[in-house]
Amino acid sequence: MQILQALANGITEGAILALAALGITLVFGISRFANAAHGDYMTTGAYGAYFGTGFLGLSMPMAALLGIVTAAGVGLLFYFLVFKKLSRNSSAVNLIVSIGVAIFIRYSIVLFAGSEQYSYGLPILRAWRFGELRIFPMDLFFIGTSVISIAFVHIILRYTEFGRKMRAVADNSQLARVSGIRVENVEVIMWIMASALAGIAGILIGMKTVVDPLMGWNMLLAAFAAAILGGLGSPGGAILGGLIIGISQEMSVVFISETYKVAIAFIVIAVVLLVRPWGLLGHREAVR
Amino acid sequence: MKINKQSLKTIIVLAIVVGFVATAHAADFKVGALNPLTGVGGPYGPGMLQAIKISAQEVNHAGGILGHKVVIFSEDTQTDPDAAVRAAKKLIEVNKVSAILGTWSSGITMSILPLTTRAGIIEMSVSGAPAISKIGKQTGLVFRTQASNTMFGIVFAKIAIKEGYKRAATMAFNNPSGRGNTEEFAKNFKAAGGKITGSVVYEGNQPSYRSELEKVLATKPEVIVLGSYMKDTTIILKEWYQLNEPVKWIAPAWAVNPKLIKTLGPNVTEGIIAVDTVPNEGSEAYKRFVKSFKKVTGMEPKRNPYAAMVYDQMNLLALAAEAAQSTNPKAIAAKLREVSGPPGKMVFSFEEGVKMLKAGKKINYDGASSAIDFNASGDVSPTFGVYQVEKGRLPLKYTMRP
Repeated sequence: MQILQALANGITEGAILALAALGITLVFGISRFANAAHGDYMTTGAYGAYFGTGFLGLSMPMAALLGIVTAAGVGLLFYFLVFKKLSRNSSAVNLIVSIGVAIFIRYSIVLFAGSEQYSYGLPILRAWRFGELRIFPMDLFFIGTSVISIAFVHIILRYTEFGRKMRAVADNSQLARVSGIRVENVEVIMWIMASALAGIAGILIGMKTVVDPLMGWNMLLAAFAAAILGGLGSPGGAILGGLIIGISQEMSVVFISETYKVAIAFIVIAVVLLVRPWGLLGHREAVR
Repeated sequence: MKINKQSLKTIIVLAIVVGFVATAHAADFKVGALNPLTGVGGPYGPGMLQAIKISAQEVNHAGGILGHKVVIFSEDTQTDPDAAVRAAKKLIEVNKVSAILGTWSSGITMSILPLTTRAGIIEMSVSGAPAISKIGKQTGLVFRTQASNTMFGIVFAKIAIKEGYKRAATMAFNNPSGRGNTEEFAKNFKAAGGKITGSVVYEGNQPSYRSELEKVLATKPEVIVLGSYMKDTTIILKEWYQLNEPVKWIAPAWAVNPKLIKTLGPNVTEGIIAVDTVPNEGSEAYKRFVKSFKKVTGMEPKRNPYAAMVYDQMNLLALAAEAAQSTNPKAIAAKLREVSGPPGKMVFSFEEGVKMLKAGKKINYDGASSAIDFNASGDVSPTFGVYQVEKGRLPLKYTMRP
């Protein structure tokens, strides 16, 4: 029963992690770098929503929408201000600059909102019991939101004109350009999507825990790990990676030790990458 | 002489650098304020920095330390040991400070102690880890105005016994302070006849502690004792309330504070016991500090107990330098114990103390945070306050000596 409970807890953790990893992997697929500011885009979304509930008095759904728009806006802003101009530079340059962007966003938030913790003031609901198993109603909401968002992204990538263009750019951007695809437009829409996903993930974490300036940054390492585990650039891999990390962390509390649960998740990653350096669902070509 | 553009630029840059260095000239007494301006200590750091500045201003107003003006260099630990080490290096190597004040959280104090020890400067913290006492005893350069976790553990155990609990579990944030609190509690609780049903040590900065919580709840304790911080405690209590398992809580007051109660609401937090040292309310130093602190920050000093603690650190540092008639950190450290405790005339401010010292008298500084009589390890022994959440408020129930 303990195992089943840990599995349920792990799925919730994994669902949110997958959402964060999906945004990272989208950016990597198109713009070819690991965006260290992604965690702080998540924080931006969470604060945007807090601004909605705490200051404007909006209902939670409206505030969440505001948060998502804010995150997307900030992501787009830094694309135009920074990453677009650096697109010819190596991925290492972009990664380092994105760390700078991350710090800039974080301390701008501290400047305006302080470093105290906030909450959306939502009611805290008691668990539903199914025998010994206890399910938090909010967790079902988190998993549901995550599944719907991921499905939405999947449909766009698989079944739309834009999705085909995006996959073409991800495969080979020069060839895509020669075939008449406007790569810049694809990048703009990709950044909006990835940042909006960050916003959603941030708001979910804010609802589950508290809103504070480090919330996104603290999630970033795990989200990176999930994206790498699944194979950078592979949306399906990001989801799988998130779930594996979430579940293995919770399982290790039951079987090994809660103190090392983070370390154990990383051992799992190390082992997987030793066997498959390109990640679970990544392409072999991605390894350079 | 013809000066080309390049060398002109060099000269200007040089002039600026020289000017910059000269503004912080050798005659100043340089002190590093290394506070948690962001991160989990964020609610306290900015107030602590202000408190150090208030004291420095009082010292400068009274003529400075042996005529030297006190200059404060502020750095942010981000409540992160890595960032704290970088900041401490900068304070030591670039600013050449004589002391680093106000490190919060034991993980941080422990990580910068090797640096301050090697540089031979004074380190004053508000951290509680028992290991800090050992280093203090060896080097004579380490002091703290916060009670050690050993004392917190003793007080936690006394409270649990007084409240009639027989079965307790512990949950600790994985750092020297978190573990210190709960391990000392377990030792003393068992010695008093109590039973420890379970204990977990968790890694911080997680979005959920539910599996850890379920693990200790499964051992059926009557009370869970926490060695934790505000953010993780908020998440743990939120998940506990959702789980709907009756249990009581005893936590340090830096974790269970008005901000946490506001975040979770009165239903979740009702009855939780929070423990911290109480400020030295009878002291003139406290009254004066409260007035200045309210004026400068507009905040209630009771919500930030560390502010009074670091205010005392700066005052004591200045008094010890006067007593030593030296600005050498080792000479100052050697006098800190003497000016902090008996025998000597009771003084409540730098200004008063300097007058006494100049008159050739011994002094005993009675601080805003506690009476502050440093022992051989640089530790203090304050009075503890036991608070209990009641309808969203946190009134003092009783006080206790370890």
